[in-house]
Amino acid sequence: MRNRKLIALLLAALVMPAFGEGQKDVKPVQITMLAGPDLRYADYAYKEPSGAPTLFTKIFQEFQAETGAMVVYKLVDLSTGSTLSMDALTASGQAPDVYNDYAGRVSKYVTPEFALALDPYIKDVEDFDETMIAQLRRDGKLLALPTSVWINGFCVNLDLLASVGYTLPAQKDWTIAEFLKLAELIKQRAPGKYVTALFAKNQSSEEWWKIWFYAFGAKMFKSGDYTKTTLNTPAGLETLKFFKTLLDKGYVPADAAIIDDDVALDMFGRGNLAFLSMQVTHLAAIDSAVKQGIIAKPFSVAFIEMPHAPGIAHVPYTAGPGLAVVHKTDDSKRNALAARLAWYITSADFQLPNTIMTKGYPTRKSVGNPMKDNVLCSQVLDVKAVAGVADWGLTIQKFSEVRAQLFPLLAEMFLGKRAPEDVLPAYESTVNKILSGK
Amino acid sequence: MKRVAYLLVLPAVLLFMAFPFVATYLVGHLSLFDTNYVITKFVGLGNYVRLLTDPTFWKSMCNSIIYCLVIIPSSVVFALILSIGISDYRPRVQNAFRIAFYIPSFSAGIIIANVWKWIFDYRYGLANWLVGIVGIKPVMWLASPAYAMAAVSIMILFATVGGYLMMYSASIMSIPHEVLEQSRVDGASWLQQKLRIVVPMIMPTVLLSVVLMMIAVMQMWEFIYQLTYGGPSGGTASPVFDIYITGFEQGRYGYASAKALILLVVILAMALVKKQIEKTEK
Repeated sequence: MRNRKLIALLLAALVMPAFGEGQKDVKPVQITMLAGPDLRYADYAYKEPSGAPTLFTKIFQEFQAETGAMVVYKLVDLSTGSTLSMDALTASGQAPDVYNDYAGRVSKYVTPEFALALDPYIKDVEDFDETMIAQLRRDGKLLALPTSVWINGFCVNLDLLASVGYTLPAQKDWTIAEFLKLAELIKQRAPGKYVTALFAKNQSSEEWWKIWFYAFGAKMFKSGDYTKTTLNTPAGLETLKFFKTLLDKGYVPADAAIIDDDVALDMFGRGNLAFLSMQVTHLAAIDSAVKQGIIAKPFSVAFIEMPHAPGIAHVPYTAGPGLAVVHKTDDSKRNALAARLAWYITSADFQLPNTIMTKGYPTRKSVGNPMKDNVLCSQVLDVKAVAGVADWGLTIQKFSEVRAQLFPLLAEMFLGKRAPEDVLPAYESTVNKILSGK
Repeated sequence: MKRVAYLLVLPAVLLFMAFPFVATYLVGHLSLFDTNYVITKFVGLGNYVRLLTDPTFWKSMCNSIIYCLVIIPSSVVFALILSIGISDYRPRVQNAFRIAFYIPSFSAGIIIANVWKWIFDYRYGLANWLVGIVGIKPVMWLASPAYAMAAVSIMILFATVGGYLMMYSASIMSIPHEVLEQSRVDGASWLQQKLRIVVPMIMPTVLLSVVLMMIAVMQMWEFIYQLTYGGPSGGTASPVFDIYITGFEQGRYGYASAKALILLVVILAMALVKKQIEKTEK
C-alpha cells in the first residue's frame, strides 16, 4: 500500500509540470551589454535623485521603463587591456548586443561586417560632436556612438619650475628651443629631476609621447585617410632627434627604453618631472605620493599648451572617447532595442554624471560644460578650444595592431640599436602593410 | 568485470581527452584563417608561410634555447647542491629547507614577476642598492638583452628551484642506506660519497627534471610579460609570450594559432624524449 502511494506521488511529480506549460510567463526581451566597470554614485559623492545606486542601474531603469526590455550587463575583463572578453564572446557566437568600452578597443568592431548602421535609429545625431561622429562613419553610415571622452592635457609642475627660477613664456615664445633651455636649467639646478619622461616599454599611454610629433608638425594620419600613415616626414625625424637629444643630454630618465607609463606617472606624482601629458584624474598620483610620505605636500600644477617647433602655432591634445557599438542581427526588433540602449548609454542623462564623476568631457553639446567650476578641467578645455584634438587613429579597425608598432622601434633607438633615420621608414612599412590588410 | 570497469571510466577519459584533442583541432582549423573574429578570411597555409620569415617568432625560439642553456644547468646545480647539502640533517631541518624554497611555487608567476620588477628597478631597486654597496654604479638591468635575460633567469631560478629540490630530495631519500654505510666503511669521504654515489644514483631523476624544465621554459610567458614585456626589442620574449601578444593583444588569432601549433610540435618532441628517459629509468 505504501509502495503504491510512493509510485503515485512520483507519477504526480513527473506529470505536474506539464500542466504548467499552458501558462507560460512572458519573459521580457533581454539585451546584453558588455561594458567596463559601472560607477557607484557614493564613491564620487554624486547626488542622484532617482535613488539608483549606480550610473548603469539608472540608465537601465530608464531604458526598461521605455522599452520593457531588460539589460544583461557583462563586465569586461580589463586585466589584459585588450578585447579578449569581446573576442571570446564573439567567437563563441554570443556577441553582446551592445559593446561599450574605450574607443581603442571598440574600434575593432566599428566595421560594416559587425556593426549596425545607427542612422535610422538615432534622431539627434546633431547633438554629438561633429568631428567625433565623422570618425565613426564608414561609407557614410554611422556605426557607433561616442560617450564621454578623456583628454590628455600637458601638465606642468609649477613648484618645480619656480624652484629653478623659471617663468613660463607666452605661447608664441614657448618653443622647443625654450623647452630645451628649461630642461638644461632643471638638470643644473634640480639634480635628480627631469623636464619630462619618455617611455617605450609597451604601448600603454603611447599617446603621451606621440603627441610630440604634432609639436613638430608631423601627423599620424592626414585628413581622415587611414590607408597609410603620414608620420615618416622630416618633421617626424626632427621629433625623434628631439627625443634622442632629451635622452642623451640626461633631460629625461635614462631608462626610457624599459619604463612604462606607470613609472612615468609615479615620477610625476613624486615631483620629479616638470611636465607630463596626462588626464586630470591622473593627478591622484600626487595624492598617492603624499599618502605614502614620499612628498610632504601636494605641489601646484596647471594644464598648458605644449611647446612647438617653428611654424607650428598650437599643438593639439589627444583624446579618447568611450564608444558604444551595436551588433547587427537578422532580428529587426532586437536591432532597434539594442540601438536604443546604445542611445541611452551615450545620452545626456548618462554623459552628465559620467563626465562629472570621471572628470572627463561630454561629446554631446546639450550637456554643456559640467566641469566649468573645476579649474584644471577648464584649463584643458581652454587649450582644446584653441589647439584642437589630434586624430591618432583611435577609431580605425586596426588600431590595436598599429599602436604596437612604434614603441619597439623607439626602444631600439633609445638603446642605441637603431638610428633615428631608420625608425620611421621601418614603422611606415609595417603600418602601411597592416592598414592595407597584407 | 574488466569491461564494466572500462565502461565506467570511459566518460571521464573521453572528457579528459576531449580538451587537448578538440582544442588542438580547433587551433589547427583557426590557423588556416586570417581572423580577428570580426573579419575572417581563409588563407590556407598562408600563416605558416608568413611564419617562416617572422623574425620575432624565431627570435623568441632562439631566446628559449638560451633560457634552456642558462636556467637548466643553474637550476640543476643549485637544486643538487641544496638537496645534497640538507640530506644529512635531521628530517625536521630538511623539511624546513624544502618548505622555505618551495613556497614561491605557490605564488602566481605574475606576482613573482612584479616583486622582481621592483628588485631590478633602476631607481629604487634592491639589486642596484646591493651593487651600490660595493661601489658599482646603478645598472639598467632590463635595458640590455644580456642583463635582462639574466634577470629573467635569476627570477625563474628562485621561483622554481623548490620543486626540483623536492624531487632530488625524494630521490636521495630512496637511496638504500646500506650503500652509503658501505661506502663509509670503505673509507669514502663525504664529498666522494656525494659525488660518486649519490649523484649517479639520482641521475635518472635529474635527467627527467631537465626535460621537464625544458618543457616549462618553452611554455613560460607571464614572468616575461610582467618583468620585461619581451624587451628590450624582443630580446627576452619567449614563444608563448609572442603567441599571447599576437593573438590576444594584436587580435591576429589565426596567425597566433599557427605559431601555437609549431610550438606544440616542438614540445611534443621534447615529451617523446621524456618518455624515452622514463623507459630507460625503468
